[in-house]
Amino acid sequence: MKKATNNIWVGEKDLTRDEQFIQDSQKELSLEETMVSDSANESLRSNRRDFLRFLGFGLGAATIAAGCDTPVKRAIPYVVKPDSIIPGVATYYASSYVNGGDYASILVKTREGRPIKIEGNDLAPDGLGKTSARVQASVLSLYDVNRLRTPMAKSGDGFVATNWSELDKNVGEALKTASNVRILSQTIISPTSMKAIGEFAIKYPSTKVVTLDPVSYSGLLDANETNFGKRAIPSYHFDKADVIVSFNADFLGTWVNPTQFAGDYVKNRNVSDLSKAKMSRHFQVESHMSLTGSNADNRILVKPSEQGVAIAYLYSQIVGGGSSAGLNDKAKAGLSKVATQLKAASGKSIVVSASNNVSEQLMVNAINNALGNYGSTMDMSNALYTRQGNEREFNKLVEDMNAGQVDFLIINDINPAYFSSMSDKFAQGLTKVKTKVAFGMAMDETNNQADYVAVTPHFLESWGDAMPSDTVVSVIQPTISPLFESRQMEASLLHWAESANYDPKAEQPYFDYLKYSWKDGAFANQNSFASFSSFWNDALHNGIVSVANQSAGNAYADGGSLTEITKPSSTDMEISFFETVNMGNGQFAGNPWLMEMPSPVDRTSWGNYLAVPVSFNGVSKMVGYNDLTDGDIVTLTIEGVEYTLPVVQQFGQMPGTVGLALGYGRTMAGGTGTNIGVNINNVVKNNGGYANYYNDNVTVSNALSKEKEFSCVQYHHTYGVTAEDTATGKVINADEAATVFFDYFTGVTGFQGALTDRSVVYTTNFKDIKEEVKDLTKKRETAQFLNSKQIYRGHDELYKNGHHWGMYVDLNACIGCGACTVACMAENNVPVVGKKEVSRHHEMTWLRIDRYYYGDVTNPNVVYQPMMCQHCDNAPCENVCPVNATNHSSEGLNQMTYNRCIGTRYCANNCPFKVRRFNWFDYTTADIFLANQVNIADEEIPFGADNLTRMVLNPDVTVRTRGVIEKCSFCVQRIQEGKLTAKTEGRQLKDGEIKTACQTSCPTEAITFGDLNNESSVLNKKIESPLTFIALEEVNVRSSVNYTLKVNNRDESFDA
Amino acid sequence: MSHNKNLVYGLYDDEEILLKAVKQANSDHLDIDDVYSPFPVHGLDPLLGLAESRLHIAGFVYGMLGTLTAFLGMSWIFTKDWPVIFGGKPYWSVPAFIPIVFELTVLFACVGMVITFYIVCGLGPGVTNDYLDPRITDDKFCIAFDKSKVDVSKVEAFFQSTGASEVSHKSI
Amino acid sequence: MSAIISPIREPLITGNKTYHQITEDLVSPTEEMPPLGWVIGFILSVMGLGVFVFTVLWTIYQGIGTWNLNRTVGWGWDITNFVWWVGIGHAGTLISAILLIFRQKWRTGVNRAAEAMTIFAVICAGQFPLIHMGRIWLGFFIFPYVNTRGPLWPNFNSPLLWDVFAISTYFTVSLLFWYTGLVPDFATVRDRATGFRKKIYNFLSFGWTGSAKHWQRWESLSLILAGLATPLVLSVHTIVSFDFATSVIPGWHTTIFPPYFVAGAIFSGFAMVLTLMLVTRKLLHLEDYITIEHIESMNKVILLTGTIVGVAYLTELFIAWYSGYVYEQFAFFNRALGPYWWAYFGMMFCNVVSPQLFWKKSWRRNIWLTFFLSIIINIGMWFERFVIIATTLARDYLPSSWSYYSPTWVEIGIFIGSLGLFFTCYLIFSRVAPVVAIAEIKAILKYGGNQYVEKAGQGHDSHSHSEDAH
Repeated sequence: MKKATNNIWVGEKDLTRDEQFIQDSQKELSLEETMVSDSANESLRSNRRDFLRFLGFGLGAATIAAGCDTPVKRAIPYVVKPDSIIPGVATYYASSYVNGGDYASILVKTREGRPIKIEGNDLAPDGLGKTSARVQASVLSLYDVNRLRTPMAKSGDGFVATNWSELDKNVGEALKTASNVRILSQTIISPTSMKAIGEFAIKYPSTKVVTLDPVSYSGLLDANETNFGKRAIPSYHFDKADVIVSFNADFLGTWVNPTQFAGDYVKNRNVSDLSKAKMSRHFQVESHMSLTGSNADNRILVKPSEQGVAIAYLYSQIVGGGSSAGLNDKAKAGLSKVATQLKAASGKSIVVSASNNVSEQLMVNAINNALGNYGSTMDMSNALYTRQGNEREFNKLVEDMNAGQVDFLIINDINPAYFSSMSDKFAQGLTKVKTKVAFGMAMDETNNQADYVAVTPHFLESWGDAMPSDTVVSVIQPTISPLFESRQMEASLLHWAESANYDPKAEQPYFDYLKYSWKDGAFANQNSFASFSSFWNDALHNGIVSVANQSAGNAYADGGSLTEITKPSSTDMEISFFETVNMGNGQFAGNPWLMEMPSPVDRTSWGNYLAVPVSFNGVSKMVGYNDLTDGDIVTLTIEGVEYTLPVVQQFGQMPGTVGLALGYGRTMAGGTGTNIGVNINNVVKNNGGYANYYNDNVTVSNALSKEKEFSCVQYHHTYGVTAEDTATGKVINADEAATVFFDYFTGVTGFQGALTDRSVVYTTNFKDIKEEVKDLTKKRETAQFLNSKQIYRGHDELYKNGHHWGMYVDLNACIGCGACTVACMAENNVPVVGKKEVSRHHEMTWLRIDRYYYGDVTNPNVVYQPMMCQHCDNAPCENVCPVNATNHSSEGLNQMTYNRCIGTRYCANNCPFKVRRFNWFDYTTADIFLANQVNIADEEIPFGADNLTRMVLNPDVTVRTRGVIEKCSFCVQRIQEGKLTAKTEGRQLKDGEIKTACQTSCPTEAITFGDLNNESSVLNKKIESPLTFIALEEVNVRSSVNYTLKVNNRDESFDA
Repeated sequence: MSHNKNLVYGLYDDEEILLKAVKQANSDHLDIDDVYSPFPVHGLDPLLGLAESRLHIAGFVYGMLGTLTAFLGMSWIFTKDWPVIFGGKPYWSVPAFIPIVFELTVLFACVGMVITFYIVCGLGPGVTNDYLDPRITDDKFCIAFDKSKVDVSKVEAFFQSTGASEVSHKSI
Repeated sequence: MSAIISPIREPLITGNKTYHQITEDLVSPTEEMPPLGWVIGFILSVMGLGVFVFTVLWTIYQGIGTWNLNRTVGWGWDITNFVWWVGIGHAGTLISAILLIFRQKWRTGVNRAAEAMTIFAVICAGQFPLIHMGRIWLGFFIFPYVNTRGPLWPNFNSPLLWDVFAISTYFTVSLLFWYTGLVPDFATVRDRATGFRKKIYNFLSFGWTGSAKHWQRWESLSLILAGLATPLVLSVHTIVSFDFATSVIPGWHTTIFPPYFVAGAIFSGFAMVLTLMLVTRKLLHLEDYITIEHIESMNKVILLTGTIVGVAYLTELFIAWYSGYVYEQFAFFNRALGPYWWAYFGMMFCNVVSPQLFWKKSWRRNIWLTFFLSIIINIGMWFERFVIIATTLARDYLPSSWSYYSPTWVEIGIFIGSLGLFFTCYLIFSRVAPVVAIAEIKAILKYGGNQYVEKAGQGHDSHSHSEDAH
């Protein structure tokens, strides 16, 4: 019973480790004893029975002995079965995801009481029910081993576990004497939380609330306050915009509410029906290739410090006035063109900026106003509240703290000690605050400096609500009872406030309080329900309710100074700091799924890589800035602060600039996030109290060494980028030239067409779409003609019956955000392998998003191609497996039998799409040998080995052991579930009833799964589009996944 | 391999003398029991009236057996026992069977023949056959007569005349 | 002797050997203490074998992750070594079988050792398909054994399964062929031995007596085995080439592979035979049996097959260009000029350029040059397999998945170790069994012994040489 020590106990004796009992339990397996007992009795009958008993027991003993040890049983049966749970059937609960300014209305999939997957909520209005990679990954942080088990109290340098009564007592005393109470919180969009804080403030009148966002939006908010008297962000309708201009705003990846924006954005870029093809044009003004920039039609390159003047220039073109000295001429030329196009699209355009400078945002507002966008493409009356951080107040707080004018500080789940541009001053200030109480799930840089850490539950364990916009309120409901001794922030505040409306003795006190607050909150603002209970049940069921808009009008009024724009700097090197989809500004660093997820644009994971510009040397080489190549280690000096970090060549990075992602270099982010990458928040420029995410005092050294573990999942980035050949002066295909390593002194510069003529992905410009479609059709016909010449007849007649599963991926809708890749990991128990393994190309992702740059090498366009198993009907992998471990189902699925696989990897070699993944080591810690378990981040136990993290595993999907191949299964478990449901309900399977994990997670609905045999299915409708193609069709693998011709709306007059 | 035969045998130093001697013996109507040599002496078999070996016929039969086993086996497995779709191939994907059919043909033929060879020759691991003279596997060529079948004196005279280097008697 | 004696032939056996001397010369190595050279070689080989055992166990215990293979390059040194060893394993059977059918008498000097080499090379080759499995402990899944899982059978469409059958058949047949040839010679050893050695060799010799009937059956068996082994030896590397030819990966999916692989196999096999024979004849003083004549004949074969391989390389390039198929074109463009250009260059130089030296007779007959080139050629053939496997996989259809591969110490260790395994086996063989087929040598003494050849050659111009042994 050795294993019993890992805190699983089978009986009370076992728990108390009763010596006698343990000895007996070992004897259980010894035959001798029973022998003795047998020889005792003589009768023939009992002998025969004993014989059988031995036979059975002998077998049993042998089996167990084979296992070397009594297997630990983790299955604990229900004593009383909950009505809501049917073992083996998933239950979904509506809830809301609110974290670091991100909001999503979600459905939580639970199995046997465990939340294991998060889906978007289709019932949510305004596309608020779409998920991002962050939302998808949030379920894993519920089972984070680094979460605090109990409230903690500071003692000396460290912390000791305490309990709530103890903590309440101490905090209560501290509050009695407190004269200046401050609550520092991330944006709170929960009406009930505000109510609770309100009650707290009544009890302790000195209370002031200061909010801060990980990445600041103060400039925008303050500008809006000036222009609209409303400190909020308008809701944008990118679907209504024909011209979109974004000044460095990554609105598809990270800016304000990207999932909502992305969903709208692609609506106006759908050209699958040629007859009414119409496409918005998107200009991105930036220096670093952001996710949004990668989707833009034209990118206008300006240095970070030029953003101000760039906006000013556009302002001067559209509104008039404003100085734009110092803007580079190419940008000037471009922006003038942009201006004319904007004017042409008045009322049907959007101009956004990520600038954190009030004057610049005022100009942007003025531009939008002049274009008449308010009320059409932008709506201030139904505003978004997901970001409310106020830097001025925060700076004030920091000053007060340093001046010793704050004696009680409550820190609500926010980590300024890490992400604030004035983190050092903040840290100093903290030392001067008498009592510091931090709410949080785990230790971080800020909590670590508090006196008490009041451990809070994960949002999947919490009650709550959220009001992201003026017209929407949504519920947060727990999907599992708290795993640890945690208590919600609101509950604590109410408890300390000794609120009359809050009964700590109640079974779920905050639940009651929530309902109480809703009675005169949301319930009052609606008229569809008469009784509260029915209203409440409906709200819980849908997770979201629309309410009457309570906020005032949104008349635009000029105001504020437009002169304090960022001054263009003359230094020859600038750096821009940006937020990535996966890391945010550090709040997701502790999440292995997000850490392992490659950043969509540079395809690196596990660390932030300095993006350096790259150009073609005119012969046969892509040359990075300072001759830096991928994975070179350099010293980056920003305002005297030195960082040593690896670089990655970034196409589309403006010469004279470099870029670096925020959110890395956490020093307290648990096993996964700690000391991964570098933290540059402390060198973020601070102009007039506003964090400006760039710096112009930068030097980048030459290559010092090579990074040992260059964790980039894509080595070849380009798909036929063009550049000028210095020898001939002709424009040639640069990356084809760059495939030559040694030309035997023949001067061969690559044979042209090696990449562009591939049938992997097709791209075109919107104006050439007709011709391109003709070519594509011709190519496809040729391929199909060749394929018709195969010697084998195939199994078409068989596939005609029943289902034949297929998929359609709309490359014009895919923005590369990577939500699907994380959703796939969550759904299919795909292991996390860690930096070293990723650097060896051992990543296990079933679904990856290939990213190719095409067009001009200095300012390319980008195409994203989600690549998963194509479930070929002529699958090359199936023919070559010697042991029959992979073969084809009658429904057209390429199925993988893990326990039959012996790992010859022949199938992976023979896969033209390279989507098969091999378990090189024991990533899932399911193996017979301990030795080969990969220790991802020096944790005591490898990731996923602990019982807590294992709770996230999807019980419907096998966990793969070392030495077997795995790959995308088209979520076969979902297919089976759907078929079974239909069968039990005795009906036909409905189209769209079965959705794969990637499909449901996609905010732009780029992925469609369905039955090819169902003529009326959405899938077949989409496939009919003339833009449809099949990757590598002429290889005749007959894949079941269809892609679309990628169309961009680039204005080529800019390239002149 | 008859046992307990009383043999009289003579040793020769060269296969050409041996061949002459065998011819002589045939003309003298001496019934040679067996001839032993360190290597196969060409032209000896007809003189001794040895029928041509039928091993190759056996080999052919074994080979056919292999062919059928492989082809019928695979066909049955893929069409009857458990048909599985591999990469769009028909269940009965004959061209893909050819390599294995060929290999098993060869395997059966060779193994079968070799086993047959050792059995008919009465050879095999652990078998010990008495032999007349250790030098037979070195450089001596031996003609042996069964005393019960020939007149020993005549034989000894024969050995004398044909130039045997030694004559001796042994019972095996 | 019934065989036709060509008077204008160089003797195959020199030194006026008598039958007894032949026995003496060839059996004595099994009776004496090994020479110092042998002992040193043996120690080195066993050390290599140790490396092999360690690295293999390490791989099995830790996982294939100890190799540098990745999601794009699923096969590297493992299968490269496999194909390389199988290739080497072709010369033996080829020499014995095909040359026997063509009645090439010169083969008798070398066939025994060559067959031994074949068997040991196939043993080495056989290791790699096992080692490269992710779950070697389930390797038995590849056998079509009757089971209760359905029953579940292997996939007879898979070239890997064809390999299983081809390699095991080839091994069995070669072993039988080789051993049957050994039986009379073991008898010879037995009859000189005493005491315990006698017992052992008595067991090994299967009670051979040298009876005329046995010799007759023995010869007809050898001939039929040879007849069967000839198509077999061609089929084996053909099937190995199917591993690649039947795939869809550009650079693998090539119809030229079967002949090209077979030629390459003979090429590398002969090179390895030469490497070994040149050492063996020195160590065991067999200059009289393995003469310059033998060496030259084998160098001719090397020149021929090397040139065939060269033509194959060029044909590949031409077809790639001619196909007009971009992936095929790029695959070969990339082989020659891509990141692995050095491997391609090495392959071309070692396999195509270096053997051309053998056009010159005096160089064909130069032992040191032969020895050097035989090693160069083996290196070149290893490069060829590496080029075909690794460089093709590293850059195939999807540029996003392009990758680069270089081995870890474990993979290198396994390769070095397999050499250790091979030489350990060979060195043991060279002490326990006659490395030259005694009976067969005796059988051709009258035909190829120098004293007889010169006698027969009198009156002829014994300096005019026909180009080839017909």
